Amino acid sequence: MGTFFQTITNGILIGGVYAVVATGLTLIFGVLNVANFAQGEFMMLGMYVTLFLSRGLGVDPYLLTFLVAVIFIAFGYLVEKFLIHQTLSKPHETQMLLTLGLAIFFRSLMMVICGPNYQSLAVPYRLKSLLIGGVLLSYPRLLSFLVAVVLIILLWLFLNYTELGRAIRASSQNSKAATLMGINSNWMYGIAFSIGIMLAAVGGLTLVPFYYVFPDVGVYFGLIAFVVVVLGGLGDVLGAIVSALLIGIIESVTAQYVALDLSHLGVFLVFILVLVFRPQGLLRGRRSS
Amino acid sequence: MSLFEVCNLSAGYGDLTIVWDASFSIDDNEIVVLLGSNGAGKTTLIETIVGLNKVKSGKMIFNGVELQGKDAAAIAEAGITLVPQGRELFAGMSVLENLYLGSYLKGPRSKRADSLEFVFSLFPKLQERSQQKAGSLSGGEQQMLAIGRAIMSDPKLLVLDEPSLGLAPLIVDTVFQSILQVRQEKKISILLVEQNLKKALSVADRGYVVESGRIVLEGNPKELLANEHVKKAYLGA
Repeated sequence: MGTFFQTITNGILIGGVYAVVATGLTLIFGVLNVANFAQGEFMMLGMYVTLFLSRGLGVDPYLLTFLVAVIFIAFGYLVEKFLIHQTLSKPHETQMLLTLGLAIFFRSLMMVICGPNYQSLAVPYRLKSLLIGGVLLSYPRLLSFLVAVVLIILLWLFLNYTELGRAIRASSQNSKAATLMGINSNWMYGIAFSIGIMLAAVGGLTLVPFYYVFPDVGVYFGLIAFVVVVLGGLGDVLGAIVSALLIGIIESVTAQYVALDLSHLGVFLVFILVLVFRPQGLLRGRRSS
Repeated sequence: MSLFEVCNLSAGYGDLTIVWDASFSIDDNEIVVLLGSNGAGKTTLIETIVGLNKVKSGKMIFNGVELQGKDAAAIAEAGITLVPQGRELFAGMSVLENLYLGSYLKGPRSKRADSLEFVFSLFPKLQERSQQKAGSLSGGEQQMLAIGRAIMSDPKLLVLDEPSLGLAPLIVDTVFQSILQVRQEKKISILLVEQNLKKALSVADRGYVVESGRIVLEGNPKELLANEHVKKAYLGA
């Protein structure tokens, strides 16, 4: 029984990171109607920036959360304004090729700058953990989860209780009506994209103390983010959070009880089953919307 | 000079021109109706007025400011608000949030509490259902919400695109009553687009008839109802 709770806990802890990255993806999809295939790569860039800043300044990565968030909000805004925005009125293939191209560009860029080597950051609490009720909580994973939870709560408050957040949700639900309310859609696109990119980067940041950093690290996370978003229902923030935790648990349970190297198989098996039986997403239709 | 003056306006989609050379005007506190059958170009015309379509040529002057070429958000800010056909509510959000979104812009936001009180006095049903999702309302209530949301924008000119479409006769009466009440209490001008000719002319001060993308007739309700062409084409007499 102890192993079981440990497995579930591990799943939930990593699920927090998935939730952050995927929430960013679903926000971008909801407002801009663009599938950002570079989401995992923005996460990877977030990891590198965190790594360099932490080494350079000698500061714990989790204390850099605010700084990294600000850097990537600015970066995301520029990418939207100068690249994504130019393709919004074009067919979906154009946006797809643009974000796919960006993904390859960022991976290659980091390969040129840093080489293909796996890098890691040594934090003093790397191997420390907390024992609660027979379940071992590794410090870095616990901190990563806490940052993720705080970030998601802040996002939730922002989207639901501020004028700007409400306007973003309105644009996501009905962009034509939003424009009629005087909501400037270009401004909404910029904000939603930069917040989405910031979430990817900070999701990456939370991984740095216990995960290797390398140019291709974002590939799997980007893919998982897509799985999470589709499971949760496209554009649905709450759905993304729930399905991220679910994916974390499925991955962890498959690794523990089936085989360690088959953890991805479990995730994609569930994904395919959901696509066949509930293509509208796990939560859609259960809530009135 | 009138509050809103449209001069020789042409508009359409891509290379296709749908509205040709339309000229009309609306005075302060006036209710003007655009009449015409399905496909006459009424919706294209007013979607152009609120900035959802590009102006091909011509001018639109509102309160002395030229609006052609401005986008929908800028035109909303200038004080023209559309209640769109099909209502276009934020279906997954509550009634109250829909109304708040109507007063998103700074000007209307400063009057939010007063506007909300007025909307609730106009449509008490909306107050009862303020926490309900907009998508769960009945058709009539959704139309009331769409009008209420537009009133929250504190417009100088309220444009309604076929507000009676798909509603039961009793609800249509309520909607037209509320239009008169809004004009009277808010002292604003109203541009109404309708197929329901008799109903529309019963509340309007003036009307224009649109056929094949052109404005072919203008007059007060009496003149229009007495016009031989209108009688033949729209009243089946």
